Amino acid sequence: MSSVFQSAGSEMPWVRRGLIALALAFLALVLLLPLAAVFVEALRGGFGAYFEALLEPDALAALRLTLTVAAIAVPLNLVAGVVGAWAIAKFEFPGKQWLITLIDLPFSVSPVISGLIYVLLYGAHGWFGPWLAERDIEIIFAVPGIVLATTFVTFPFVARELIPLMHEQGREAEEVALSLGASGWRTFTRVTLPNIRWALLYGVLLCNARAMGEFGAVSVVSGHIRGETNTLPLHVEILYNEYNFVAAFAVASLLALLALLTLALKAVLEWRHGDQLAAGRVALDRAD
Amino acid sequence: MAELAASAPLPAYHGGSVLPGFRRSMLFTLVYLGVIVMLPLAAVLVRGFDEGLGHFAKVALSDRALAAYKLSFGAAAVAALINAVFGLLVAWVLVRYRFPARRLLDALVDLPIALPTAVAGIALTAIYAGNGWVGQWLEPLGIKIAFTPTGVVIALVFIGLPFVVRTVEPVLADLGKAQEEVAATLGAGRWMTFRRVLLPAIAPALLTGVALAFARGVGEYGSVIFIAGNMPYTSEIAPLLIVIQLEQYDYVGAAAIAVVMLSVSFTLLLAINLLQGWSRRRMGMGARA
Amino acid sequence: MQLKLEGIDKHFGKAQVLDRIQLEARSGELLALLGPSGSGKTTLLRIVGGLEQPSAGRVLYGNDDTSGWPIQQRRVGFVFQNYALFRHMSVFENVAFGLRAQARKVRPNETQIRARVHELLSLVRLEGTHTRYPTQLSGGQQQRVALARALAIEPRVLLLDEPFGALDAQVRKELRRWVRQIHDRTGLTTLFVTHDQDEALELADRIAIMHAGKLAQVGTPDEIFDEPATRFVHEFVGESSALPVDVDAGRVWFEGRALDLISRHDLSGAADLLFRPQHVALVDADSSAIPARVLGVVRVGARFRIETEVGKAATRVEIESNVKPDAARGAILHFKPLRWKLYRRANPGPIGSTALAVGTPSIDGENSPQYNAVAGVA
Repeated sequence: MSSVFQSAGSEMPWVRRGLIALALAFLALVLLLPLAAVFVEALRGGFGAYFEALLEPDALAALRLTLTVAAIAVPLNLVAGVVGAWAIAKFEFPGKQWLITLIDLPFSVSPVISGLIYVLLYGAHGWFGPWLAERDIEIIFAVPGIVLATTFVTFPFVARELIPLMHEQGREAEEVALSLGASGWRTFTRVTLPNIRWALLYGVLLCNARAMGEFGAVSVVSGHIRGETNTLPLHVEILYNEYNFVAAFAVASLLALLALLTLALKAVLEWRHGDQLAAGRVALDRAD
Repeated sequence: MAELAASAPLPAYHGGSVLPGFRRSMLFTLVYLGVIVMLPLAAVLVRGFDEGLGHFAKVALSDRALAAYKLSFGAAAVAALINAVFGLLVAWVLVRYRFPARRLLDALVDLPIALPTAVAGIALTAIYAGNGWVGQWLEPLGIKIAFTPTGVVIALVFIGLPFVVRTVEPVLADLGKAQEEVAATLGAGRWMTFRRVLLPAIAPALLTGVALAFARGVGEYGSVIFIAGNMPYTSEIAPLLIVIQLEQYDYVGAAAIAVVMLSVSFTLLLAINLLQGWSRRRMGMGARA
Repeated sequence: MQLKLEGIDKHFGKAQVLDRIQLEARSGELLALLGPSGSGKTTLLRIVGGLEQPSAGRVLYGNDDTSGWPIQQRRVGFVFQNYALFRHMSVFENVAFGLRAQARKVRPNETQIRARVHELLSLVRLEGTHTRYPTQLSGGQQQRVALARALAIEPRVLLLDEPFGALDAQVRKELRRWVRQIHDRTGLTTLFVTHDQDEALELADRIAIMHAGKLAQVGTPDEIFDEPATRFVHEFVGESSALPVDVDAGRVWFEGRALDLISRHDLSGAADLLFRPQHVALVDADSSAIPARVLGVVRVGARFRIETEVGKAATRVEIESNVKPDAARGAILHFKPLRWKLYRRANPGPIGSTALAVGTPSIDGENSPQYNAVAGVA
């Protein structure tokens, strides 16, 4: 028997090893390096400077604002996503594909444009500008504008996770429940929701990560008023532009930790409940 | 019998199902979408042409704007192509091979999506600036990355990677070994099998992923704004141009540029959808062995 | 081309999937590998085709030891259960694939390729489909394309892995007949794996029965059906009934009755008497006949099946008969097996009963002469 057997579906070992090495090098360069840079630069001034930057009043205000915005945008999109997914996945109607495309829209639009559109509507020279000014309502360059823009940008996340899954699950379970006499609401809470809970959690996770990390759209509508209309990402930008690098990276590291937490939770969800997430998600070991 | 039928009239349209709540949920969804999505987008389209086609052309098609488009689209295209090759490589390695930390790396592929763009932006700048982690080695060789179009490309490679990997992975995983084994029994060597059997099977997914990465790269702001030079005509991306117009209170100008960018995005979205539909018809839900 | 398997072993980790397989397929023969799922038949087929390597032993194509031969050079025609057609290629390109894969020096030119592809497509009766794509074809059509594709490289041996498994019954029957025709026309040595015994019995020149990684018996369909070498084969192919008996100096006793059956071997002890519903004769009450309590009579096609209960353990015994017996439910009929086999009964000890399933030697029996006269067996 020859010493090197090449089974039908695989390459020579050296090819395999070479490809792995190449892929790892690429990933290290593109992904790991920036990630490491955030933390290394954040701690360049030692732990003292690190915590000082985080506890600085403007930084804390930015943190509060980020959390507030997420606390509003995510539940809103959660409800909208569930309702929208229900309407789309459980019924047939003309124009469905268009509606789905519409839902996907915020995904494919530049964040700057996402912010721009709200300025055009509610800004001082916008469509509703004068109307709002009369009533002393501030949207642009104030917190409501930030919430609106963030909601727009993060809207698709929940719906995108739910629609394919609910579509795949079909209507049978709900139809059975109805035939057994359950009311619409009961059917929804007792039958539909449990079936989609992991996908829902997944969507909320991604929605939240984007809501807290959104930069472009928020930058346009915020006005950059320190201590008032700066979210964490904007605060990072301000610090960086002031050459306060250590502080900038310190705050950035907070966001990076959030990202890593999101990834970890995401991985756990995929691993434990991969079969109940949107169709098309692949658990790696299926490959064998 | 007749009484029964008469006493329970069906609603006008109920979405073809007995499930409740169609009208209500539809209404909610349409209103939500209308307020959050359609109205704002309509504003852009209208505002862009508010001061006539002349002004539109003057801003949206000015030399400076054209240079910005060239940079945004060009860098996005180059980055998408780089991701096509390396994204495929990464997907292949993650799906086909076993090695330590494989699962960890697979989870990390989504980092560019989970990480706030501003964080990515400053991190990349820290690495590739003249005195940066990598930049310091390249500077003496005369290679400048940060503050040049090259920096933009690198940032967009970071941003676009997950789109390619994640669209290719499921198709690769589903492919199964049968087709490759058959190809081998028919006499095809490994490279030929890859070229003529595997690659065509994953081509639609790869193309979709590349298109998504490209679309994302064109509009990217946060991760690019720090590493680009932001010099007009050379290293200024299109979204930045929009911001600048806004800061000058030229709403119409900003909208005009936005219209150009949106048209490209929509065309891309359409192309992607058509591509997916075609490949589904031709090969039946991706390539299944 | 003759195919020889010598001492093939295969382990997957700790599991032994194939155990000392020794098999020969004569040139031009259609040999079926028949067995239940998990018997290792697909693994064996893949080893023959070079898609897996054996842990021990070797495979010979003719006189050549193929150990270590890369698959590409074996010229084996492999057809998968799920066809594995290249979905992004047309039917034409699928069939032409093997021809195009040949090294430049020996590769036929375009005209030759085209001629060969069309020739093969008409062989499998799919002319005119060459521009279509696999998803536009039915299951049966796809399988025929897969076969044409395999034949294109002029293989030395054809390997079919449950080729009709994914098709519905009607299509399966048609394709069975058609595969036999193709085989007769091409004269290729063909190995095919199946778990469907009807298929194996109908198609194969010889059948190799596999069970738990071992070869239970190799023989013609008649040999397998009429002379099963082990109990497993008896029960796997065709139907069987089993009655517990005692053998004493060659005479067979069932619940105190001396059956008029003589075991050719001189042995004593507990055994099981196995026979088929088709090999049973109904007789008048007799001390050497076996009484059976009728449960019901069912028409099966042109014949009748009598379902009965026999003995203290109320063992189910089915009897096939050409005429409808005049017996109501609960009546007692008597029968004698015309063709039968005795197998030693297992000690349900630490080895368990599976050890007996394979390789339990059968003890040939024959009926006593008077018995044969009564039953009307020549």
